[in-house]
Amino acid sequence: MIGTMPDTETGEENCMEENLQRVRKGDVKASVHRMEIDRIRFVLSSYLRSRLQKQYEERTRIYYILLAISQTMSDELSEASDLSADDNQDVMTPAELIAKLEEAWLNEKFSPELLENKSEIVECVMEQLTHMEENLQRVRKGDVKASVHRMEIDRIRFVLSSYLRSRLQKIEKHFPHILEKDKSRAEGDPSFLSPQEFAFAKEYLANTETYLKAVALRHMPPNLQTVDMLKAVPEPCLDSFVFLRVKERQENILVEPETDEQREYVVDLEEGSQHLMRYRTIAPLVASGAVQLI
Amino acid sequence: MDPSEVEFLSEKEIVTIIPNFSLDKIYLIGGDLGPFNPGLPVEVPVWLALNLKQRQKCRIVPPDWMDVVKLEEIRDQERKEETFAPIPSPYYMELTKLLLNHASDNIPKADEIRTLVKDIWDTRVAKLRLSADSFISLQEAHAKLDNLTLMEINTTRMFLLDSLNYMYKLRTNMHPGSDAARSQDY
Repeated sequence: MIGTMPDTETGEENCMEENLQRVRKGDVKASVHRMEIDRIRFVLSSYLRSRLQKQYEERTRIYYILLAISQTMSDELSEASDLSADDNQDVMTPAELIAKLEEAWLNEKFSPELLENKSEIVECVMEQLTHMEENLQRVRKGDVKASVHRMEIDRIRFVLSSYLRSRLQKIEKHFPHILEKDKSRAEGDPSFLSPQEFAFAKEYLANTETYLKAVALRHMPPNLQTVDMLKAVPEPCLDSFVFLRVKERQENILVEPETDEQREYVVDLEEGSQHLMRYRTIAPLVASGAVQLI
Repeated sequence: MDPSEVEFLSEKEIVTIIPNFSLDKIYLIGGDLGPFNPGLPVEVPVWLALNLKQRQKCRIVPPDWMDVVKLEEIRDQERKEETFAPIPSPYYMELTKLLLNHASDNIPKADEIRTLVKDIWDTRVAKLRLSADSFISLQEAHAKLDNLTLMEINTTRMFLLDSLNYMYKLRTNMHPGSDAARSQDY
């Protein structure tokens, strides 16, 4: 998402201004506004963190352009003003963030292999949730609004945990191959696994090996006492079929034939159309976000 | 994917409700809702509409397409055409089910609508089975599935994808030594 932000600049700016107008007009709604401001502030800070890691140069460039905008912001947000430079140009609204999480959830659910980890999204959503929950603790019991907020939190939490769980399931299923892939990635490339998932995979591998040894292998003849995990555990089957919906038009996607008699041919994927085809053919498109698995 | 998860996704669709209470704007993470005033229609996600309905705090306005005349048209077109006809909502089945189960008193001719939607569903699923059958027997490698809804895909997903995978495995194993056969080795 970092590459695409210059376009969203003005939208974010307007959005922020709207927020500020709401902030100025109310004293009865003060507590709601405080919540809203806290939410905005949280988005700003979490994105600063992720972007600092990744694109320091671009950040500073746009920072100066947007500093002028941020200076017009109200006092309530002044301490976040230097962060807003980031917010204005690359941040999604919380609603977009949730939509991204749902996309990631479905893609992860339906793709045969482990996809790139979206720890940025996960972290942001987690912070949103914690923050909203903290705010809710201050609200008295039996408030209608609070119950609606709580329901929304539960729904988001469900998606989030389902997403993380399906990743863990895949790691359990294909752990030696995932670790192997992680080892062979080029220096500096981001890992497919989050640090926690990496620790989990490592531990799972160690535990499986210990278990096999303790239960069976040590009773075997010496020449049979080793197991090659890479051969013992199935690889993700990239040739499985998947259902997908096209989000950005793609041309000339090569479809490999099923049988030797058939010829290979190309198809164009129109925006909004739905297809059934092999995962291997469109795997790069899933990674780039051009198609959505359904 | 579990059908309940498809239903979960359908619950974020927007419906109009007429509340009987008043409440300020709510600033949810997923967007702002309200303000709520008694008697004034307001748009909310289905999950909230159903919750308010269960607490008898609102009346749900059925979506435009949930109407006997419109559904009859759709049913007739669906029966006439060989391909999947466009459908008014990507979650028509789930929404019908949810709304009719929880708010049937707000929907005129609820029983007729239930039957019509079931008819449309049956017609479409029959088409889906037919095309899945020809997809497999012709050994195609690509299919276009426009207008198919998530719930429909979901009814056939496990069966279709698993059988395709097994057939692929059997076919590639006929040429031992090929790379694909090895990766299928389980």
